[in-house]
Amino acid sequence: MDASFLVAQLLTGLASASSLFITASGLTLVFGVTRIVNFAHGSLFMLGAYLAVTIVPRLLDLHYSLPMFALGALAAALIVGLIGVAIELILLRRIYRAPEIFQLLATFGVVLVVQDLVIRIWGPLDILGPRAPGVPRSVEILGQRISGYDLVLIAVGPTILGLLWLLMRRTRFGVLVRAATQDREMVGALGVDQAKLFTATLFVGSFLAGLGGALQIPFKPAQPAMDIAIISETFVVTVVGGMGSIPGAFLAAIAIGLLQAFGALIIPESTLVMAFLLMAVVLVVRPWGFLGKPDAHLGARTAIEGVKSLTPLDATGKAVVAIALVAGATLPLWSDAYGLKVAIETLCFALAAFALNLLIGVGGMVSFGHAAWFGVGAYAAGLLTVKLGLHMAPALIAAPLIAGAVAAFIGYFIVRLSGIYLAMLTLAAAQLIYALCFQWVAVTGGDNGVVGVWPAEWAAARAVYYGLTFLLCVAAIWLLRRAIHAPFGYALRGARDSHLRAEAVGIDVKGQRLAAFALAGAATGLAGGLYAFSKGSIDPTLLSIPMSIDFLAMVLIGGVQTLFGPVIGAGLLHAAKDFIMPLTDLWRTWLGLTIVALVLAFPQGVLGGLAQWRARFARSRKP
Amino acid sequence: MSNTRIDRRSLVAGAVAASAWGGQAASAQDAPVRIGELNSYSRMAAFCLPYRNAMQLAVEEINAQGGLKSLGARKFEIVFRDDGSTPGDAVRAAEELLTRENAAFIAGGFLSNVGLALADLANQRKTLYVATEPLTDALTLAQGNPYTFRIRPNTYMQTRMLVDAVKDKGVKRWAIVAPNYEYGTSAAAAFKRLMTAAVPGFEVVVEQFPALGKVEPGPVVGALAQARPDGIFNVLFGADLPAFVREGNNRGLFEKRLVASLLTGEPEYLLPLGDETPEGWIVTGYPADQIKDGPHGKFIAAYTAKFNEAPRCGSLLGYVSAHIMRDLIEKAGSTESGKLIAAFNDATFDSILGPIRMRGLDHQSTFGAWVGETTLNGRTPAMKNWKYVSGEAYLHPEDEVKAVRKS
Amino acid sequence: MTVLAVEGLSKSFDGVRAAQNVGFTVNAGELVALIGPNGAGKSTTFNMVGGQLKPDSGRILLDGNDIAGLSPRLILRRGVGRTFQIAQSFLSMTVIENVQLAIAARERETMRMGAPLRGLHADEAQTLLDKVGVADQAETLVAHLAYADIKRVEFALALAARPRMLLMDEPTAGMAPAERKSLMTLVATTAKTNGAAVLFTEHDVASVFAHADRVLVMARGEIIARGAPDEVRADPLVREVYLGRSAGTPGGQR
Ligand SMILES: Nc1ncnc2c1ncn2[C@@H]1O[C@H](COP(=O)(O)OP(=O)(O)O)[C@@H](O)[C@H]1O
Ligand SMILES: [Mg+2]
Repeated sequence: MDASFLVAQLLTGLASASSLFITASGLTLVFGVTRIVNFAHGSLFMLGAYLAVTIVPRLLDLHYSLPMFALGALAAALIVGLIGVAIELILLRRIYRAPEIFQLLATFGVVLVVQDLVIRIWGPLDILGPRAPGVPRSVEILGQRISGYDLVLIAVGPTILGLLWLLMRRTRFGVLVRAATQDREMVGALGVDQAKLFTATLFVGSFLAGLGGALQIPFKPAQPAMDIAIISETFVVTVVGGMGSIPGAFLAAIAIGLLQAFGALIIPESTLVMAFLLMAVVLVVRPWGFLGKPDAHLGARTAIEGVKSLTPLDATGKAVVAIALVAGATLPLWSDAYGLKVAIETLCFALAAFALNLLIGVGGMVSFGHAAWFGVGAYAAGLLTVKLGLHMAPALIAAPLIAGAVAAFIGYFIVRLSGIYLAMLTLAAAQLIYALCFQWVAVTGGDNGVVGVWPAEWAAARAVYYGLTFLLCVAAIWLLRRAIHAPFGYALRGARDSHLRAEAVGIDVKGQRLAAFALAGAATGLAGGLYAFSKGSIDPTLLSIPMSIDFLAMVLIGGVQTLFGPVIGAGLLHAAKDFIMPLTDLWRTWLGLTIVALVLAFPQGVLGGLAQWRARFARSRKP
Repeated sequence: MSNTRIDRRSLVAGAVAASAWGGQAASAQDAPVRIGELNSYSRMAAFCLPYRNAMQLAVEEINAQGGLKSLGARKFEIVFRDDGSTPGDAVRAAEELLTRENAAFIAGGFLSNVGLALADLANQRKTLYVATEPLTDALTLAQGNPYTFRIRPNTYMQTRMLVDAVKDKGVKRWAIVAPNYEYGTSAAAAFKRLMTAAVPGFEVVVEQFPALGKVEPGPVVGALAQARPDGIFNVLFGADLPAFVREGNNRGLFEKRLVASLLTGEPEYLLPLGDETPEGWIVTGYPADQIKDGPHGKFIAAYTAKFNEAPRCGSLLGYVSAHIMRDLIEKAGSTESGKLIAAFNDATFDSILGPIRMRGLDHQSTFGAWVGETTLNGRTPAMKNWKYVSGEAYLHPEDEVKAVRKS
Repeated sequence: MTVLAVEGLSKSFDGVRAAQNVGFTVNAGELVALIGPNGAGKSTTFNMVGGQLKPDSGRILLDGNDIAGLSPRLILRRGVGRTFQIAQSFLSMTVIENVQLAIAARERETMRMGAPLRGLHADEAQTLLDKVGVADQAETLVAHLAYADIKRVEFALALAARPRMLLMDEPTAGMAPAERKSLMTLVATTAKTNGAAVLFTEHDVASVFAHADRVLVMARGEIIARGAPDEVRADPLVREVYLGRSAGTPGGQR
């Protein structure tokens, strides 16, 4: 490898970095001010690209010149900025009082809708944009040919950084943004109109996402999956750079760009994990990122309202549970085989969601990577039966043990963090496990997974397997509920309510959280194992980000304040998916709209909302 | 334009769904025979929507011709379901089709992991699964089963067609670029194996496996160029392909180099290249725009008239598959799995591509592909110097199949 | 008998010397008041003794053993209970659950996942609530309590550890004068009957001089005076500090 090649590789890496930075700077800005983890940022990026491949060629037909190209890109970004404003006004503004994590769910609804929308408007074929006029196709540097547009990008990134710097230092908006990034309450106290500030921030953030999308059309096509591809990378940049820090995002983007450019030379497959590996390492070593502040409240602030006082079930509650149990136990008598199938899956999801709420609602630890334990359980069960010839029963015992052990190991690093940093480390950990399952083909079957994971002879009948699942899931949920009512759960909740007090009365906060992680991991692993046997196969989608988001959605839709909310959420979400998917091609739109509607209608979650409603009713009846 | 097309399609889908809703009770002698079709209509829309269009066209034709004659003119019906692009969703949807929709058997699948999961489900439930698209070799080799049959030429076959086309060009130093997932890595492995056998002195000077859908074209092109190969074997497709091609064109990566590229001639992947399309890449694909004669020409005309665009590779597959499934039921004279499977093994079907045989040994059909070169027709990408290659001569060698296939 | 002996304790934050060479002792059954204007370093000192902060240097001897730098948990296990200036209780739980949890934690039962907390240590918790005077609110969520009552719960939580050393950082802040007096009387009697040592900070000068056995005066991170209440009251340096306050810099804010 000669030096000129390394220089060329460096320059192309910097160009990727520049492009990534533009998009990520918007995300970090929005997060810094609003604390919203905006999943729709990738969608805005995608809209930027699609708008640009529509607008720019038309402008170039009028006059083929670089300024026209730039004008088109800016116009696309501007429209995207306005779309961001619309999302803020129509959706986010209504739920600022809800836990911050709830806004994440709302933005995820938007992601689903936009995915369908772009296919409807622009069709399913990828669209490559025009080249930038006047930019030479390639430039020779030290005998190496480099794309001319790469040099443009290398210049644009720092320019945007500079402009943002000016915006932050020289305008009132910038002053407010910086103040809000440091202390959101303070801005409220200063009498600033927070709503206006948020709207403006979403405009700028969305504009940057759109610009990022628009500027990449000369070298990457606009295509309907680009939202998902970019969002995880921008998350990584935001976290690695330090949440809310724009210069930090710049450095992080460069780090990732260079890692991708040079890592692939050494290990060609490495691009899959490089970014998340970096994020995991940074979070473990320096949780607040390159240039973020080791600021306790920034981490703690996203801790959400969770489970409150635990009262034993009242008469109504007992009746509802009894009816549900009887209905569940007798389901094979009155449902067809498919109904049982759906019920089996719902039970598995309900257990996983219940366990997730042990972490979120009880422990105050928001996990973006819960699918990891589900997947590890499924893989443990699947690999033990298919590769080692174990029977179903021992495999189902091993699944929770292995998932619990892995969760305990990874939890060791996770429980030292809090808030959004903790959430991001769970995401990174889940992605690393995903990458392992994806890449370790000899053992895991890679992305094809492993098939032949079917129940033992005695449980092969659908009704029997349903019975087994019902029994195990209900028992596991009951045990978890007991643990939540026991000193264990209280101590965990105590650590969430007040870290200081918990330590001062003798609770080992980290140990308590670690145990919760292991417990939740084990329960979720059992759910994963049961799910694997019901499907007959395992594959990496079981521990992918969308699966983690599904679990999060179940918990939030059901309600984090209630123990059984997540169970309801699992039922609702799975039923909705099962109902909508066969009806229409636009099932993602409808699923997204359902999520958004639920978020707006029940900002406390469905069960939380019902409980509130009941309480109000009871109060109004009192004399 | 694309707008109106989709509107109509969702209407059709709605109608199908509605009829499925109401028609549950009827399973009498005159009820239609239903096939459950699962595919990634929303996530892999570029391939799967034309695929479904063509299937619907075929169903209309079949029923206009009097339906299933061996079953007393019962109507032939396909119920479509999105497979959610995950094995989990796909298996659930398949169960729904089999239990609630009374599907006689299932078909479809785009992603390989979905295909394998459906195959295993079929094996478990002893139901026929017609894997139309999934390309993974495993489906008909190590993980093949008695109930699963594949229509499309698999990864190995298509790679082998390309190897045949390039092995005598005297190129020995090769670079390989493939997406980092099973399809990409197994195509790369097959290419190496076949070239090693066919070309003395064959060597791979560099390999790149960027993540699927996330290719950073600059670094990848840089790494390839640095190794100064004489030939490039490309497996990138979808959104990764235009990015790779443009960056390669910018930096002269393809100048004076032989490029063999899998699937690139398929309209789904070729059209997005636009005027960026390189000249003279050797590709597998489907030159639908240039076929005018015979039954195939008629299909293309009918499809174009109905949907206002030329058929895609997905369309061809959907159309031929629907007819194969019809013929299969006619041959079996029944919708029982046992009879269908017995009738499928080593059967030969007449198709618009000529006869297609379903090899009993591994349940792989001889559906072929077009091998040719890429070119630009004005500003429209196209294939030239193409010829249709039947899969017959490219199937996995029998001893290899016997060595790995369990049932 | 000396329970707590602090020697040469120092702590700075980014160059701000919050505590410098702080030294004092507290004996069993004795109430020692640590007073001084806001920002003097009182809470910093408390947090070092309680383990919430690691001292830069110095020793904290509890019954002669150095506990400096130990975790709050280990310090608690050696018999130090505390309240916080900004009340730290378990807001999502009822009053009695707060205390039950604290007792369960003391008994190392927090990993128990079986029997519910509800029935655990209920009697002991009830007794403590009676003592601090919030028994009638046992089933109320702490989040719904008046601030004065939350302060009482804080006290109960500190007592749950059966401490030999009680640290009380502004235990009566936010209380009405009458409540203040009753709480401080309670603290005093508790200390006397249990033989516990008490270190407390207080803004209300009247209650300091009414209840403290000895007084330590802190300003700018240093102890500037110490002695019996009457001696301290007469100390010109202290008068300067407090005159300065009454002369117009409210709360001693600098
Ligand atoms: N965590 C901290 N970080 C930085 N400075 C602190 C911190 N805690 C206290 N300080 C500073 O140390 C000094 C003493 O504070 P503190 O001990 O709270 O005083 P007091 O309790 O006497 O009012 C103050 O100047 C305060 O600003
Ligand atoms: Mg203080």
